[in-house]
Amino acid sequence: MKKLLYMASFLALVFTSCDPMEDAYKEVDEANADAVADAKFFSDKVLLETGYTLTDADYALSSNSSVSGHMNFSSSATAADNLPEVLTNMKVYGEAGSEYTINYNFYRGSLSYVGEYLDYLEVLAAIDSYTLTTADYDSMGTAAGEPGKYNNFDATVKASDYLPNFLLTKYPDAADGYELAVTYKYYNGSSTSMVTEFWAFDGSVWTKSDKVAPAIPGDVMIYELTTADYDEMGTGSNQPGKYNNFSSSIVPADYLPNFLSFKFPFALEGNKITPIYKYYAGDGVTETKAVEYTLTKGVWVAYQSTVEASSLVAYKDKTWLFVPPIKFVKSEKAPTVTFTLVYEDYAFVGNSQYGNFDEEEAVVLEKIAKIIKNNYEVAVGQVYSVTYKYYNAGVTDKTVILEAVEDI
Amino acid sequence: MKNAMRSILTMAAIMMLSIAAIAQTTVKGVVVDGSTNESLPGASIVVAGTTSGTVSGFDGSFAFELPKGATKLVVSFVGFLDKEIALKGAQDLGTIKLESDAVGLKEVSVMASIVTDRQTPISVSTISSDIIENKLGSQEFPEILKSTPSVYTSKEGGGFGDATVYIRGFDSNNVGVLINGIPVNDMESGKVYWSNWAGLSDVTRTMQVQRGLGASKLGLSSVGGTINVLTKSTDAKKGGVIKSSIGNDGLKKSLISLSTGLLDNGWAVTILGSHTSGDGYVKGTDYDAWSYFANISKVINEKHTLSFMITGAPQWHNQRGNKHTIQQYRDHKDEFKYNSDYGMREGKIYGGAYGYNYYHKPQAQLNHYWTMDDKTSLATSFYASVGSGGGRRVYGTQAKLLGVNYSSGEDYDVTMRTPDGLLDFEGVAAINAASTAEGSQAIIANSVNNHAWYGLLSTLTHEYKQFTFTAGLDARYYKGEHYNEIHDLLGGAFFLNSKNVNRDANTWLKADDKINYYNDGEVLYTGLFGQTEYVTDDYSAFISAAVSRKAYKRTDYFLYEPGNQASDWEDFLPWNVKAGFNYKINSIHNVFVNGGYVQRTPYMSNVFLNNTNEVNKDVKYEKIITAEIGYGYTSTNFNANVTLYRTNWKDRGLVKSLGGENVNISGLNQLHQGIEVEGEYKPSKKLTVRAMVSIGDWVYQDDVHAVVYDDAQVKKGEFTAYLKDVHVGNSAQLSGSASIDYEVLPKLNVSVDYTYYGNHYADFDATKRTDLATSGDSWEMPEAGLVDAGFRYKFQIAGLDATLNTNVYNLFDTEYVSKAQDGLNHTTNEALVYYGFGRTWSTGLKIKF
Repeated sequence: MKKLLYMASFLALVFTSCDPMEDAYKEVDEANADAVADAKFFSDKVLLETGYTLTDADYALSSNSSVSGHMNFSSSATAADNLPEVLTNMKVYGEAGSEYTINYNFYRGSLSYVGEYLDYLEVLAAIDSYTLTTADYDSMGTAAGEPGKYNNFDATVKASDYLPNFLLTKYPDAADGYELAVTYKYYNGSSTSMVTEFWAFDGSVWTKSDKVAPAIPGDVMIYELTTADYDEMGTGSNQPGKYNNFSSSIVPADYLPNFLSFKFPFALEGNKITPIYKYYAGDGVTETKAVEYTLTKGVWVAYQSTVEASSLVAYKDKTWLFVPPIKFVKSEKAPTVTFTLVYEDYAFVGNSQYGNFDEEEAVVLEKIAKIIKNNYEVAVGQVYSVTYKYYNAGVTDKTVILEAVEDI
Repeated sequence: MKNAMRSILTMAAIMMLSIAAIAQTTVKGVVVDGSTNESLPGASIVVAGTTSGTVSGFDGSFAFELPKGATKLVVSFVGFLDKEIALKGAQDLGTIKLESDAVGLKEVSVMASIVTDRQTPISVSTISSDIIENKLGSQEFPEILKSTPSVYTSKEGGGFGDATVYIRGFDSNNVGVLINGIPVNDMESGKVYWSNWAGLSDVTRTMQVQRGLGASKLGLSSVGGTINVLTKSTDAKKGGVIKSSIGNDGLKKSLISLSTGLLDNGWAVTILGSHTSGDGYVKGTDYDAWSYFANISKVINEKHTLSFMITGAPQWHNQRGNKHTIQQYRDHKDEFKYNSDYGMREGKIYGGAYGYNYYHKPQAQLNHYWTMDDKTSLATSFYASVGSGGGRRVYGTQAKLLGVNYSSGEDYDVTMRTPDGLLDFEGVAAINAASTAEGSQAIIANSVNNHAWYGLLSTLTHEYKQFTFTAGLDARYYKGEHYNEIHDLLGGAFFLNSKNVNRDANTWLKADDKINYYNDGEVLYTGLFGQTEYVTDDYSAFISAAVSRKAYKRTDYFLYEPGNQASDWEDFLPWNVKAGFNYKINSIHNVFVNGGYVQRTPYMSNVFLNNTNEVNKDVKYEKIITAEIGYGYTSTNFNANVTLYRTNWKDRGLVKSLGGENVNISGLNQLHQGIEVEGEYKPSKKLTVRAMVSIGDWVYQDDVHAVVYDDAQVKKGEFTAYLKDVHVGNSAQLSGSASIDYEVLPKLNVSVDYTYYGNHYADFDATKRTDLATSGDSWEMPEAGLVDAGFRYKFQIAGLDATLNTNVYNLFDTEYVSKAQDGLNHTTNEALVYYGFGRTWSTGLKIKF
């Protein structure tokens, strides 16, 4: 009986042997919860290993209709505001703390003066024009201080003093509201140029109208192609000289760069010329068009309203962040942030073994910059005082002050 | 599970209270060992031709009522020849002396410092041959010690022979292993690789774990304890044994042993051979092992006995070399059997780096026992062991193709795997074949460690009145040869290696060419030891001292040009002294105390830095101060021991290589203290209950300073390793066991063993504990309780004694972590672990003829 008791107590003891790993598995599950969530989070995402250039499909992922519609960023739909969302929607992720260069299309808009100038040409085409002849100047008096003396106007012999009477004489039958573009010579003290002004008749008096030629940037030369110019580019079928215009099959961009090189062989790098040309749009309609060209590295390059641009982004806490173009420079300003590197900081930049730096200064500063960006929302103007451990036959503390400045 | 511990204690208490009734004597006596007069507990006393009888108590005594018509008693005990006694009715048979069934056993026991309980003041657990025979089964040899106090055994990666044993928290460097009294710890590193001794389980007669300083008189520096293995010697009786067993995962084992018995001309010969093979419990750990043993004894005359023994065990086994995180095992299809370190090559399992080992280390001993007179004897052993073998490594500029990151347990980005997840040797072979200009990018090499070891051990014993004087000489010469050898170019045409300054770096190297390193380590050891023992009936005392000269010499054939390859001998002169006192208060109670101071020579790798001939000027003797106090209780059917110990290990040195860097940590101090309780209860001849509890407190005492050197021995940096109060890992600090053996039917025994492990901390890398912020204690493994069950049936086949023995280990298939490496933050999640085996089994039939 006693033996049975022993056996029973022994067996009871045996069956108290529970599952030793139960708690361990719970701990592992808990510890791995983040990792599991991460794994799930990253499971449908692709690691961005290096930089990237956005494709049309990528822009289409933006919730900003300007971005998705135009496949670009612009000053109103900025990369800063919209690029992180596009990357997120692209289901890519980056390595924590790494910065990536993303290339994208940036819409900078068209050149306003080109449109204005074309409008102006249109206006010009719709009204009569008259260019003063030598006889006209003479008719306004040939004595000193009168237009006929030098056959031009200048600062003292003003067109506005003579033209109202001249025009009354010249157009005695002008109807009320009649408009006229008047072109005259103007001497500015050193050279003579042609000036076009708009004059209107109200039934009794000629007055200069509000209309003015649009301002052309000073470094731009407007050049209107002549018939001879078109002929220069070939007169065969499907060549500009045939009808003295371009069309969808005679693409201006194919001819104009070479034409400009030929026409302006002594142009200098950076010179800008805006040729004005005819374009046959079909159905008997011929339009006047203009494109600004810049001599760039010896080639005439047409102005693009959309250009390639790039920005830095960083991946932090599973989120894409736009990195303002900031760099750090050594500074002696009063710090706005003061901190001392801790072990995690060294580990973050690959110095986990000893928790100090032993590299040359440039490398150390680069690593510290990385650490600052990892720890703080960096803005231009912030000054960081960073204390770190430096190993050189013994560990010493060193401090460096770095200012965040715009990186152009 | 702490409740389980409480249960063990409660049970032990219940057992202490119960005292079995002793029948009115009609026949009684005391069974003793005829050669030593020590009492033999557990001897069987049976009326011839019946099953009625009894077993002797712990003091060797027995008493029982004879059935009518009994004329003859048979007294038997494992390891002794049966003795028949004719009966003349009720009587006191007095002292019954049993004679050993082995020739020369007594002499070798003396030489091996096998001690008698209660007489020598040290703490000791003896594993008798019947426990080894019944319970070892398919376990690794050291695992038989798992139910003794303060011992932790683990199968490590699970490869055949890869088990390790820790005593009082100390690893094999600090546990002396003696085979027939001959020390076998590696002379350079102090380690013991049990796979070199895979045949020992077949030839061991008894095993004794002496915890703490132990009884060995040699100048051993074993801090944790000593494992004394006594092999079989020559059987005194003619006959033989055949044994055949099978087990889980394709285990097959067969064994045959033959003995001439002691012939009239004084000669006796015993030979044994065995073969073991299997697939291994862990994936990719198949193995094939042979073992042989021969012992020839010649009793020349009453005074001289000669005995020659040779044993060896050639083996190869595929291994598992990398631990993984718990989650990695859970995620893998092989679960706890997951092995990241093997693949297939030519249709066979092929271990990668640290995934294969082969070794053969025969040991031969020629022993001479000379009984000069009644009081004086001289035992001398000449021995030699010649080991050869090595382990697999992967080298090359793209070795990572076949590698696993050992610090994370994960593959490298470039690691090549087959669709099955095995190492892709064929894929690597294709890369190697394509590298026609640079040669193989990843090859299989063997890290070879051959050695030759010759020794002379001579012990003179003289008794004078109550004193026994012992003095002896322990002389050894050892030469180890270490190199890497190309084994398989893995599809490439050649391999380039620039590590040999005496060879053009563009030499096309092929299989069997040496690469990376090639050096010899020589050790010359001369030790003198002496002991005085004073024994009376009531008390005994001893004092012993040993001094030795240990000299190291290193010869490097790769780093230096001829003429400059050998270092000078580096001499060390360590000494130790120990003393103990035992007092028998009465026949039931005894108390003892012992203590010692041991100086230890640093290991070779601490003397010669960074695998060069450069001598470490800062090297120090390690010092160990230890003391024990113990109590013993012995009654007819119950005995128990309690020991308190405290061991302080000071100025321990540790050299670690990290890539091209070498870290030299010195001044490591460890304190190991604890209490051990062990008891055995035999309420009847059919029932035996054993229980043990050990509670340790093993910690590092201080933070230590470490210096990092680069390849060129230039100081690179310093750091503090935060170790203070961190627990010593690798070994359960709290352990307990209870086992019950019950003869449920005549000749049919069933046994159940319960083993508990707690306060078990992960091992750690001191060089990763350099940040105060993460300097907490090591990760503690979940406590675990495991149950083994055994079944033993004795019967007769054609008049021959046969035994059918079945063992099931980890009966409930409990999942548990048996070994762990600590992570940076000491969490469960980060730890790299090995799981212990789930349920395994073996069953064997043994026939004696």
